[in-house]
Amino acid sequence: MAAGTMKELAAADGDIDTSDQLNMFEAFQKVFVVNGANLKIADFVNHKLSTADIRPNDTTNIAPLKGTILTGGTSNATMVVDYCNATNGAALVYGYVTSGTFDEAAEVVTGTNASGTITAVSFTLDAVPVAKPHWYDWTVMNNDTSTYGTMPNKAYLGCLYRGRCVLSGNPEYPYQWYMTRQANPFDIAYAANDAQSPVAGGNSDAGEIGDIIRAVIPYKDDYLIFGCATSMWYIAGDPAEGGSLNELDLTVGMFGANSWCFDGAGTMYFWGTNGIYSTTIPGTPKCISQFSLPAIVGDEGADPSTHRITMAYDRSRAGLLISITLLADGSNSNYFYDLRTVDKTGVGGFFPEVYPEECGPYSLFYYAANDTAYRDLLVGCRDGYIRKFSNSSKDDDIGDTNETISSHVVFGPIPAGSDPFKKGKLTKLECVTAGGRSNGSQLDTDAASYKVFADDSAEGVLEKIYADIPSIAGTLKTPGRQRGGSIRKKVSAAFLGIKLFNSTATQTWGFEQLLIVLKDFGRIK
Amino acid sequence: MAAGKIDEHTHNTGSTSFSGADWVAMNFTASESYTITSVKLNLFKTGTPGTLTVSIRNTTADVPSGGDLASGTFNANDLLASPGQYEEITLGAGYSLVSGTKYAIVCRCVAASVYWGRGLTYPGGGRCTSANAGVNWGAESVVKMNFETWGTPSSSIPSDQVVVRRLVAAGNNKFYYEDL
Repeated sequence: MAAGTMKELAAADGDIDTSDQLNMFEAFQKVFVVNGANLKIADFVNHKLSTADIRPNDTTNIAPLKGTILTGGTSNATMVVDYCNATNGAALVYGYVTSGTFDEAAEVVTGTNASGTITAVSFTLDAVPVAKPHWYDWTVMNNDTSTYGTMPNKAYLGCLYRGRCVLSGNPEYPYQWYMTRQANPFDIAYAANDAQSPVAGGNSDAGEIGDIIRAVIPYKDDYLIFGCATSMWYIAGDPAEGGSLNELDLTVGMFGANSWCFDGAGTMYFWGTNGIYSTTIPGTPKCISQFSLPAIVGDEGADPSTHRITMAYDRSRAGLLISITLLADGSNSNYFYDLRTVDKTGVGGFFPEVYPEECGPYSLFYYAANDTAYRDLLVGCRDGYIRKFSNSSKDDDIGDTNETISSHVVFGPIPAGSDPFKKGKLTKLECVTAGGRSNGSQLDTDAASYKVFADDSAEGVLEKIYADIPSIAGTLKTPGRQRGGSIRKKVSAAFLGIKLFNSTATQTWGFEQLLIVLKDFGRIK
Repeated sequence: MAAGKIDEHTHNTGSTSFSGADWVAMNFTASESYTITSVKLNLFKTGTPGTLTVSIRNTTADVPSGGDLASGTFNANDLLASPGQYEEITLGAGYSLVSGTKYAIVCRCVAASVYWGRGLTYPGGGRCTSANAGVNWGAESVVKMNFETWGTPSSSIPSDQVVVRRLVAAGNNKFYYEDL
């Protein structure tokens, strides 16, 4: 047993289909798995009792209800029942043991239900203990659908909100959401009439069928947000106790189940109709990518049926990671949105990144582990590994081998002349790279190179950058500010672009300043 | 956070002497997880015993085992004569003790003699003695040496429960959980 070591829950093998959409959420010390028709529970808290007949005498016995206290006839051990999977015959009873150890092999267990015509519970155990966690189907209590309702045939979305397990994403009713009874995930009979009653509903004005729900997003116990295909809605408070359904935005929809996150200030970010949005809850979503990445939706070409977009707030690095992954091969496109660079318009910088296909992010999750060594943003990768970002590694880990990281920064197009009608000549270029102090404690950069692109139009510079047709190129003298480090190769044009880069294995680089000297060089013809 | 007194046994009915290869130890059970930074022992001297060394060691089968986890020294020539008093010996950078685990305070000095006060009432451990400088130990669980351990709790709020947060993941049609 060790932090960071993952163990398979053998009972779950083959019970879920990870090639299909799958959501999980934690509630009541259990993990609820929502995977289409596979609605499952991994139970980390309860003890399991097994019996061949939960109701040996139909006229005097009944199956235990949630909350019934069971007592072992010989061991005197006690348990508070949480869930039982049958009303009669062979059954499994899950509950929290409050004292002692049940004699699982043959002991008679008794209890008294708090309600019902028959209240006496008595059954004989028939199996040895099985260690936690337990894995079982998520059904209603006792599988008694007449009393506790019927679970949806399928669901792909789930979360916990105000002590209710919320389900949605049922292909048969894609506009519908379902909430279990408060503090009871095994009761979904939404015909009850009390403040904790199970509830079901849709998001629409009265008389309309609601929008297709793509994400259910709890914000504390205050709001539940529904990211829909072409609109956004939220419930404030509890739907069975004075809560209200409200529109967040009727013109912006959400991409998928995991294409959202909250930052530390409670601002929600999501991938929506025209790019990346931020909003408070309640609030009005604002597209934060509209100026720096105006065509991001078209450029990425993400399709909910073939791509997954996941977002997470990296608490350690004060930014958001937005990952767009093609599920078929793991090819990916990612943006780190740096909250430290937010300007006076309230928008920060987007830093595009591409990872090896093996590392294609299928899921992102900030794990606030008890063990600080594992407290980090975790990336569930296409090849099955869970990775995290390393501040010291100089190459990407792709399993048995590493892959070189190629990185660059481009400045420009820069007008080279002193006015729009003049060309300019680059007479000196100097880059102050990181480190360089002898006997200094700070790390020195590895090598870095440069390319200068020149053209008489800004568009021409961009074309040459994309086509990689530099006018001059070379290697920078590193680290720090080096004597003789100035580059005095001359190039003249109306516009310049300067690219600094490194694409060498086991190297990393950084720079402090880029200094250039320009002189006017005649008129643009 | 300032160090505070955490574990102790102060019932006093006599004393045990040690010097040279004759070492004395007292087992104690950490009542919570904390970093032990010093111990206070009820000591007095006869003669000029020289340097007194006090250390914390693990225990196995109720006797000290392994090397020093933390240690400190004290000029025992500065001790008072009988009945003596509690003297504080700091333990360098200290050592993180785990709640419920039994450790030993091991004492030795260069020459004769230092006397360590003892009593009968501590339930978490007992005296151990060695005649060959800690190579072999004998346990005498009825006898309890006086001590106070001082340190800083690992958590500012004591807890009797261990709260586990574990990672779960699904992949390849399987379900995985962090094996804590």
